[in-house]
Amino acid sequence: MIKRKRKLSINDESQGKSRWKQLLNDVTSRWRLPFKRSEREAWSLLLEKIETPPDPDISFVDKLKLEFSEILNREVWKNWSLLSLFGIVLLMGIVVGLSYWSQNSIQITGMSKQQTVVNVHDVTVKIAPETELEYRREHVKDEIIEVRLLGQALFETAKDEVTLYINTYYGPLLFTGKKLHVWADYNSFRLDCIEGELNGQQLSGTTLTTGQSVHLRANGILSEVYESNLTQVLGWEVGVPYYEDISLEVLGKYMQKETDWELQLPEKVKDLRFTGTLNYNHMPQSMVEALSELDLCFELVGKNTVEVQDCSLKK
Amino acid sequence: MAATETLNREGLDVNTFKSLFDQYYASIRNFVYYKVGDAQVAEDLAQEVFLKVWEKRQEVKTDTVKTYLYTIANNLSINYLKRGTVAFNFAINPVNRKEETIESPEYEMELKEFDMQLQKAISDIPEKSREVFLMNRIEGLTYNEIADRLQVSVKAVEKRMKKALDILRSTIAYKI
Repeated sequence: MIKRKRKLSINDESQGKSRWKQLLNDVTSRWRLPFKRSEREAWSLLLEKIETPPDPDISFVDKLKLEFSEILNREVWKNWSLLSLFGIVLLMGIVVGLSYWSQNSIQITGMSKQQTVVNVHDVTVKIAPETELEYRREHVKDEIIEVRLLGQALFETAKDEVTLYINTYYGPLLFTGKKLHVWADYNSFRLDCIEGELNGQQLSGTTLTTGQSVHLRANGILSEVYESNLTQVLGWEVGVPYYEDISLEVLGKYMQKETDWELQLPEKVKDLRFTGTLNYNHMPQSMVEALSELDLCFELVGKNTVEVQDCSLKK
Repeated sequence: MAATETLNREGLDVNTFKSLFDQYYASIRNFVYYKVGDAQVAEDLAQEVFLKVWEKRQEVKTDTVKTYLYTIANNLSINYLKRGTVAFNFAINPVNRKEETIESPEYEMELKEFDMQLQKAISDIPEKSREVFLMNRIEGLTYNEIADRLQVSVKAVEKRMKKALDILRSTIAYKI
């Protein structure tokens, strides 16, 4: 029920005091603190400032496990009925989403050992071998182009620029540019400006120019902008891919997919990091040369299978 | 689990630091705001508090982390206050139409007038009394909670509150 407050009359001091108290209560109850930054934003800002310890080994799957275990540990989920309900709703959402997406999208997987060129609504996309690209069938002219990417791709538009909404395993990214290269994998993400200028929601106002790159750190924050060797970045177009800070385990998977050469890695060396170029046209020599810097020894143990060992252990 | 429970005696990692941030950021930021009266400065100083804790993460101890945070916040505020004066400017919540009562236009006018005078008068309250008054009024903390946060006795909180109200009463004329 709505009541209208009567104006108080002040006949004596005690009435004045109670009126003062009422005014004080009414005014302060309406006050709120005038902060502009949310706690989440404050934390992101703080993360950028602190020197976080490098944690390149955490994979996307591990990250998900960690996040889910945090969510599941919350008190509210101890109520199983809520959890089941959430599961059912989530499952229904996934089914509806997948069926909608599959009916309305085109999925392409890059051909083995060679690049594939696709025209996505007037944007030329060159995708690396085994790269997965998915995009919407329908598109309104001049609107943002939405794609899902797993692997490496070079996007180029004949227009001045194009805005791309790229779904990756790291989450959605929004970029505007003329010619850009994206490497979106389970545990790495890199963006290179190949020509013109590149702006993006995640770049916090920074503009990348030709030859500049950023990558996503394990803590979810984009790195500082750095200069890249574009010949190396686009080396995969001619079978000479450049890898940046990836584990030998992941490198082995790439090699097996793209060259049929298999690396057998003991546990101890799986997590060693590799940065450099491999020439897939000259295997396994190129691999031996590239990996020898990591003080590793090699032994051919079968057709197209190389066993890697820690040289120090052999000694 | 509270950050203080998981804090390792030999320091803290990013995850524990995040828990610490979640647990104390808002109260530290508000605490600084009550002292300096500038939201932007309060947010920046609160960031600086946590940056300092991160820098000293190897020395941070479980049982003293809360005091440590408030001590840094206090010191930073004092340093800032040496440079300028305090002027509060609280944002006003929009009136919730679902509330049972609505005010008459005359009363709304009086509220506005009182609000202006109060925001001005708050700057004149001594710092310690002001923070108690604002913690109680803005965050709705009880005297016990304020005492716990400031590491003082409840009696001290009561005294500070009384002082704040006395000053406000004498500054703002209620015979409007």
